[in-house]
Amino acid sequence: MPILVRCWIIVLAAMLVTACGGADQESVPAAVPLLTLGHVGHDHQIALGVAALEPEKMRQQCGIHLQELKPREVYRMMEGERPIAELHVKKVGGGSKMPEAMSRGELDVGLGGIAAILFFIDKGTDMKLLCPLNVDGDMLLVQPEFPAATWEEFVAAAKVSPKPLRIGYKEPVAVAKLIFERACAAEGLRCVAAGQGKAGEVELVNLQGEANVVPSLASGAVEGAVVNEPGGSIAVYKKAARIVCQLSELPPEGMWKSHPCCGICATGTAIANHRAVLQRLVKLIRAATEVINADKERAAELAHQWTKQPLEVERSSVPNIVYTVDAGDAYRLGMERWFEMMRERDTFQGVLKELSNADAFARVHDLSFLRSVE
Amino acid sequence: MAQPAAIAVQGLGKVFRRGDGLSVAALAGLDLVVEERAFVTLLGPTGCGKTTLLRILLGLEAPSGGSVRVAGRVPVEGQVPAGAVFQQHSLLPWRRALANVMFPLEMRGVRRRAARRQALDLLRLVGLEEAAGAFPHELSGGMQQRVAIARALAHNASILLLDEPFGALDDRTRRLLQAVLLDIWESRQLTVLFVTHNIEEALTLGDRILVLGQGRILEDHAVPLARPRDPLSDAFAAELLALRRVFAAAAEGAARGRDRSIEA
Amino acid sequence: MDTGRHPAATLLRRVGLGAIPFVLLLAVWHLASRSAGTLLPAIGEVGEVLAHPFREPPNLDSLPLATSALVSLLRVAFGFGAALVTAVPLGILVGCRHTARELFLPIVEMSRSISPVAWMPLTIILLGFSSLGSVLYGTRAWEYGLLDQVQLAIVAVIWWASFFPVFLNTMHGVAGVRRLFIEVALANGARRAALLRHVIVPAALPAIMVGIRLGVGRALMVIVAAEFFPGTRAGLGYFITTSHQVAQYEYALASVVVIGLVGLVVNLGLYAVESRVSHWQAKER
Ligand SMILES: Nc1ncnc2c1ncn2[C@@H]1O[C@H](COP(=O)(O)OP(=O)(O)OP(=O)(O)O)[C@@H](O)[C@H]1O
Ligand SMILES: [Mg+2]
Repeated sequence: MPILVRCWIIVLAAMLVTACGGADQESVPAAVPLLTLGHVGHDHQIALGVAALEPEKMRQQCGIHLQELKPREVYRMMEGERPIAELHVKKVGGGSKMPEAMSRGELDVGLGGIAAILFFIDKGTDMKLLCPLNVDGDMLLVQPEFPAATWEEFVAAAKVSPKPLRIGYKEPVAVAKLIFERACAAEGLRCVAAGQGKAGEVELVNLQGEANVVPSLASGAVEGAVVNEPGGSIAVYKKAARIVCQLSELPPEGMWKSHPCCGICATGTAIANHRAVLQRLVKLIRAATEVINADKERAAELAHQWTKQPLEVERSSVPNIVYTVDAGDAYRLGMERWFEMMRERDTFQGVLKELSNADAFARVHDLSFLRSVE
Repeated sequence: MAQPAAIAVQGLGKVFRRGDGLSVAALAGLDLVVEERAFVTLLGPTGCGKTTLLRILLGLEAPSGGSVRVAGRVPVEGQVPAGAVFQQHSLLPWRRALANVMFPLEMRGVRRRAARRQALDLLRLVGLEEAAGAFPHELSGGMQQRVAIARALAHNASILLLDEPFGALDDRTRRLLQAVLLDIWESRQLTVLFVTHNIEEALTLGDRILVLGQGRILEDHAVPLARPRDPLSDAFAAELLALRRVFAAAAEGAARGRDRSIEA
Repeated sequence: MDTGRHPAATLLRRVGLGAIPFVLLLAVWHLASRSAGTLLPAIGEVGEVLAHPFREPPNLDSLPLATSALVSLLRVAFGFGAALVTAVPLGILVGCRHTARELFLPIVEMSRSISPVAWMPLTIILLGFSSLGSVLYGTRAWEYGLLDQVQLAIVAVIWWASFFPVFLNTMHGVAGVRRLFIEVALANGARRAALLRHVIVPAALPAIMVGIRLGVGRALMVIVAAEFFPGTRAGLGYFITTSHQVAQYEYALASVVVIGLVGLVVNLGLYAVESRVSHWQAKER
């Protein structure tokens, strides 16, 4: 026993010493408020990356910038020379992970998918959307040799195919899946879930995560997949797929144009206690969005630096995404479609269930920050 | 009797309930007094309860009836002031020979260096100095038994309980260790209760020879020979023959058709 | 068999034999990665990742490979350490006391087949992003190197994974200690209280060691799944899940290689310790 315990203690001590090796940074006690910000880390949210990577530009653009204390993790938000907050940035992963962490009170601000945010607000999490980050960016992929280059050809192929076409999606509440199902219905294609034993032209397969899209296409487990960027560009880059069409173009005509995708939300506590900081944050993100749209080539490079995706992937992905913080009429319509769709599918079981579109919209948003910087 | 008894047993009974439902009376109404500084040998056929008696004396087994006192107290396991050598191999296999001998010393809180020295002395006494660093599985059966004897001596108690300690030894070594044991018995003024199958050994060592059978003492034989005893002397031979007769008669009387092998 | 040969030749032969499967594996891998349209990374690509253990991977959002390995080892060390300090005493207690066994055995038998990964949602709900760093240094944790990467939720999952092998083997080891050893100790002046240290633990140590080896093995196996955890930026498992997510498979394979090597070293070390503490058991006659 003694040797064992001794060995273990030595190993642990050695590792701790190495692990604590970085503890010599300047340690300024936080005199400014500290906010924890969660994000997914993909290129829908590179406004955050641009703000983090281009402090000088942001400073010129809006007078606010992020001073890096620890790359990708800790930033000091500055207004001119004045620190106004410390931001702890946490990459929490996609889907429901971000709003889930908000509901645990571990995040003050979060960048994440609208559907999951709505789902958690409905469940009672005290948070509100401050502004959108991007719209569109969903697409239909097929295997490279699949004989369809447009949506019309895809529909035709599905109709003549002896077996249902297997189309993968990353998770049950993925935007892409919801749009695709409605579009199929509009074309008279019946979508069935895999293993249900019902007749249909399209069989939907849950790939249990974006990670499985590429291998599933490559191995022929599915003929196609509906994904959001950068998933589409990655699959193309890996030569596992071809893009058939952007989902925003699908029928019913105009229904999916600029459908809201990601947004920024904040907890009720943060909204109550840190109004000034949140206002600066929205201002910063808005300016960063302008920077992205001004030069998408440069934005792709920054996206590559921030997400670490290969540059080729970002060059293809970033132009497919519409970056906007605009919460105008198009956004409102998009959100109302969201409410309808989620209600239709009985996804809402809580506070949003009985609300009208307008009430729901008011309930899930706090656009005052956006208004004040516009 | 001027001296208080080291071991006093009265009407001791022990009934084992076996797994197959039968009850075995290993001891039944056993009376025994061992005076202080006496050397008593216990002789008896296999299965007659010798080991059971020693285990009760060590507090490892609870008696079913009767009273037992060792050094004036009811034996409680771990607190009996008696060193013991078990019948079967009983070294702790994860300890080297030396560490095994050091065990009772450690338990008494003897300092490590002093314990080492004493343990080495004891190993030398049983002729196993070079085996100090060996693990039990690296020693022969007889060597292991000698280490166990050294360990019992390290206990430093005034009573020694030995259960056929020399059974596995050759004649020469056995004689050697008998001499060593007698030596220690005398110099340390110990009380010894010594179990053996061997009549000659019983006669060589004991002041008294007890013949055990049917769970009680059948014969209590005082040995009239003076020490040191010479096994080649006529007196010894005569005594041995007499004892054999006593033993045979006792065994005869005790045997109820049970198969018993007695080494003579 | 090898008597009379030069010892160096024997060693060479041993190492050479062990290398054959590796060479075959590499050959198959090489051929497979050359076939058209495959997603399998070439050996060279994986080698490239392995060759730069201290650089932030250019195509993966992660701390460097070496840092990741260290972070994983820290998580394993704390998770396994927690398992050790809980499972051994509990195993001893349950091994010694019949009532304790009756008390704990139903829940243990029920729990031990539950995969540690099954607890991920629960551990995240209960422990959130809290880490060793955040426990010790609160919001300043980021200043203290890698401690903020040792998330308690991951540690808890590792703990669960390695608890049962250690616990069950300790329990069986203790329950199986020969009565003779205990009696010998008692007859040699050991008080009841001294038995634990001087008889029960040393006698059960070979069994405990087996539990430790199995427990460490399970901890290493489960770390990959456990690191699929929000808020993580490093770890061999994180390397795998993240590279999977962005289809940069060479990082996943490099991480697999490192895990294999870590496993090799750890197992050899544990075998060495085991043979030191358990050698007597197999040879006992
Ligand atoms: N734990 C036990 N359970 C049941 N029966 C037992 C137990 N221990 C001893 N016995 C029985 O008690 C009797 C006496 O056994 P003991 O070991 O005392 O004999 P012994 O005189 O030492 O014999 P030997 O000379 O062979 O060592 C035997 O019949 C044995 O079967
Ligand atoms: Mg016996």
